[in-house]
Amino acid sequence: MKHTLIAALAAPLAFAAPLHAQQFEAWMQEAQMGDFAPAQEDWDAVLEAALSEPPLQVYMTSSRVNQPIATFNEIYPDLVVEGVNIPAAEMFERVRRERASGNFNIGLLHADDPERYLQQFGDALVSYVPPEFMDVIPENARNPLLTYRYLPTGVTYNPATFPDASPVTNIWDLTTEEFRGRVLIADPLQTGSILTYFVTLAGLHDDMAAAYEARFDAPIELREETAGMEWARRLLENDPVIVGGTRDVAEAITNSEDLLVGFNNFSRMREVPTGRYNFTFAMDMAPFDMVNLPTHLTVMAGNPSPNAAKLFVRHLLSDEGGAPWFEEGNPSSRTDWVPQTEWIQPILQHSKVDVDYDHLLAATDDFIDFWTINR
Amino acid sequence: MTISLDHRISRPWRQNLRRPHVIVGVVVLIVLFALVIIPVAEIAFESLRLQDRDLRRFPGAEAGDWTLFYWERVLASPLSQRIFYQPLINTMIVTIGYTALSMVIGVALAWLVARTDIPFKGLISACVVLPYILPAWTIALAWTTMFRTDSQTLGAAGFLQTVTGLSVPDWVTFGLFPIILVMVMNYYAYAYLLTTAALSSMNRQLEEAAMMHGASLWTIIRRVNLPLVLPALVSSFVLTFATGLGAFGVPYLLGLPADVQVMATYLYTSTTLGRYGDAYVLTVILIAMAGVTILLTSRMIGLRQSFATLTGKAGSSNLVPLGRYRRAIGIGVVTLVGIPAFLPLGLMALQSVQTSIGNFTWAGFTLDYWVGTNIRGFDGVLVDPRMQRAIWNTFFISLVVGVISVLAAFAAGYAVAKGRGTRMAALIEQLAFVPYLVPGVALGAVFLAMFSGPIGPFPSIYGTLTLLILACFVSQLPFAVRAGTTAMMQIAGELEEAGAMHTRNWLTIARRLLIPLARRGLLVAFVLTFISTAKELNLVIMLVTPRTEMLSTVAIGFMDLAMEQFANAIALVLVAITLVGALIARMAGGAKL
Repeated sequence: MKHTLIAALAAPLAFAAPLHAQQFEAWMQEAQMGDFAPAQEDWDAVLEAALSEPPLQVYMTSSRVNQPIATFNEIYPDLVVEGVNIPAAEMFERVRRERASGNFNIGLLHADDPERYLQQFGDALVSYVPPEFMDVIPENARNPLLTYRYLPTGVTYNPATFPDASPVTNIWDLTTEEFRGRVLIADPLQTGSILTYFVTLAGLHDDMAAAYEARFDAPIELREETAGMEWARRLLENDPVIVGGTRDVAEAITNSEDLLVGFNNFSRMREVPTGRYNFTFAMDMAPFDMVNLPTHLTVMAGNPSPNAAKLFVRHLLSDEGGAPWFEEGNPSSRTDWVPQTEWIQPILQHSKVDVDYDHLLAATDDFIDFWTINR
Repeated sequence: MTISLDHRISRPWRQNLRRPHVIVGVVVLIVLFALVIIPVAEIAFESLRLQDRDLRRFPGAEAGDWTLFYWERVLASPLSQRIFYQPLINTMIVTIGYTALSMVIGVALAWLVARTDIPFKGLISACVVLPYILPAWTIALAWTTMFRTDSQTLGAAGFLQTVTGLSVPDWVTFGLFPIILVMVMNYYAYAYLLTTAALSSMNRQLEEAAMMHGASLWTIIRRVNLPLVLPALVSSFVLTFATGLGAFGVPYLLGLPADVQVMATYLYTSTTLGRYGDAYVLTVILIAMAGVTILLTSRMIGLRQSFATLTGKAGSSNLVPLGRYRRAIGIGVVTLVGIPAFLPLGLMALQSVQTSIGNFTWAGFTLDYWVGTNIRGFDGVLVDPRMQRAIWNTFFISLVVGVISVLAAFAAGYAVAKGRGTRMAALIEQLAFVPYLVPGVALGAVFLAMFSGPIGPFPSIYGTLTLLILACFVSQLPFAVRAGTTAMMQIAGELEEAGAMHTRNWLTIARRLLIPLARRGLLVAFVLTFISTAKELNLVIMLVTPRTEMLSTVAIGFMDLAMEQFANAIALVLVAITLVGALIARMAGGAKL
């Protein structure tokens, strides 16, 4: 009894430990991933091996998790894939606890929070790219994490109120008197994608400073370290309306008859054709229209179903497996992907900036504190 | 001298150990130690240790190093005003305000139903319990649907403004005022249920005696009823108060738009941001706050000598007559309790059959979300096999937790009631209350860590319903122990003594005498724990696996997909499951609830 209690007491106190290097190496070799990944997969052999593995567990922050499983099972009716839809915070905490206790059940993770991803599991993640996709997924979408799809995020307005042109042509417009109290922000502390959007902008200096000069014909005077951070501060000083989520933003813009803009994700636009919302994204804005937030797909090292994971990754990357996202406003990271749905087409014309992983890792916590104090 | 001193100390100790309530108490304490102390100790420890994500701030440090960093951040940093002091003040305003209102309304209704001849008693009871069954966000959402105005930048006008053209001031829609009011609607059932149970099992002769001496109605309430139901009042106060400290859903929906944060909302925010250090500190502070409250109330209750109201003497059931206003009062009360009960429910039912929310045309009605197939990849709630499994899991887990909770309620209630005033009783009460204050996510994380590997001879229960049942049971302990204590305190000691004269077997006494007498209170324990388990989300989301999914975890995905129809339909299924639970309780105990 005493022994049991001590064991119980000690177990949770262990912090997330990486797989022992040797174990990790052995698993990678066995699974043929990472450095051991073959130049060409023998998919029949992979399928053969997958059939004798336990069911693959897939954890996603997206509620569409069961749709690719259904199409997957049409191709491989004998493979069992179990999908779990879970919010990012709970997902990461679960993975952390599971690993700390020596359990390696979770096979595949799919989430859109690169900062938390790298922060907590940098050494436990395997970016598996099936050989046939190697050429169509660019290097920056393969490292440090495999980007599966994007969540482009930018400034939205109501096209019924402004049918001719966007009311915003420069991101610094939002800090002017004209926009005081007229910018909607889904609280970045509640919405991960908006947080990543702000942290990314806050880390930019040159582009943001140039946009400032273009707007005000004067060099920027900084109180913060970068022009991007200065922009965030001025935006907060301009009495923005902070709401709970991006859906509140979409709804408010839809109902606005006056000047009102807000930040949103492109995938939220899937409810525009249904008539639920009416908004569109500012085009040709300085310095760029959108931040191209990446959403990752990673194999967890040590899991018992690596071959099933390989097959499922291949399926998700394909047009058919990825359709629940690609055709709903989350563009594929594949360069050869062509959107089939009409309302998605404009995404190819928007100018976008990519996230900087090192900056996200270094600056996210400080930005959270900054926002908490100054909002 | 030395010998007699030893003698004096050791004899009562040994005698004590043989007394049933001490044995039961020791068992309860061991269980509480394993399931409550260890998890909380871990949380307290971790609030003092450096988390891996903050290593960047301390070059050279390692995760797990001892640190006061998080306590300093929360209590004495530029952030403190925003993340601690303001939320603390808001938490106190909300908790005190809503507790006072809930107690007044709940107790008044309980007295009307249990002790007067008011009509529509069944309906009133149902209306009080209904809002409590609903997941916390539903009433808050109904509130905004009702009252929001187009002057708020959020856009669309609410129901009231659309229909009547009236627009209410902003503070009615968002902020402290609606938080307090909606929380009263959600939780005044505690005070009502516990007080009704106490009042109906009370010896009526006491009232009659007072009446014969010419006491007025008011005097009877004040001098007879009130002292007798004091344990129930204290229990409801503690439950209501602690719920207020930890409440998250309502302040989140109604507070955030007005920038009103309470401690629980910041705590939630910090867990979603992965800032567990801050979250652990806030958890420890919340536990301490509730601990002090419980200490004060248990001291109050410990000073009073007798609460036994349920004695062997049968009482007749004369009810206080309300006279000629009887019907009017009845209708008034039904209206008052009916609105918060049926309005949200009606809105949910309506929205579960609309092709798009807010479309009220005939063409806009559909049963697809209930029985259809392939609606954007999902089947209707009643036909999808995954949903059916979730329905069954939810029902099964709630049922088992309810049953175990009744056993715990009895054991802990007995140990506390019979050992009233002793340190053991106070300890049991305080420990049992702690899980209530640990945020679900944190409790779930600790359970995951504790039970994801084998412990001693026991195999790992990760991925099984057992783990969910165990975790839910622990999170429901406060309800169980409170309801049990209330029930057991009412049983006069002489009844047990009378039983002891007939048999030496305490289990027989418990089975034949104590359990039947405490039946009502134990059923309250069952219903409360069954309901809370069925709608539990934050805790179980850490523990479910594909095969152990519950309805609440399935529902959140649909909100994210903007398919509220599904979420609404699931909420209605939850209500149905809860009604089945209440029905089972009624059949098992023959009691009206």
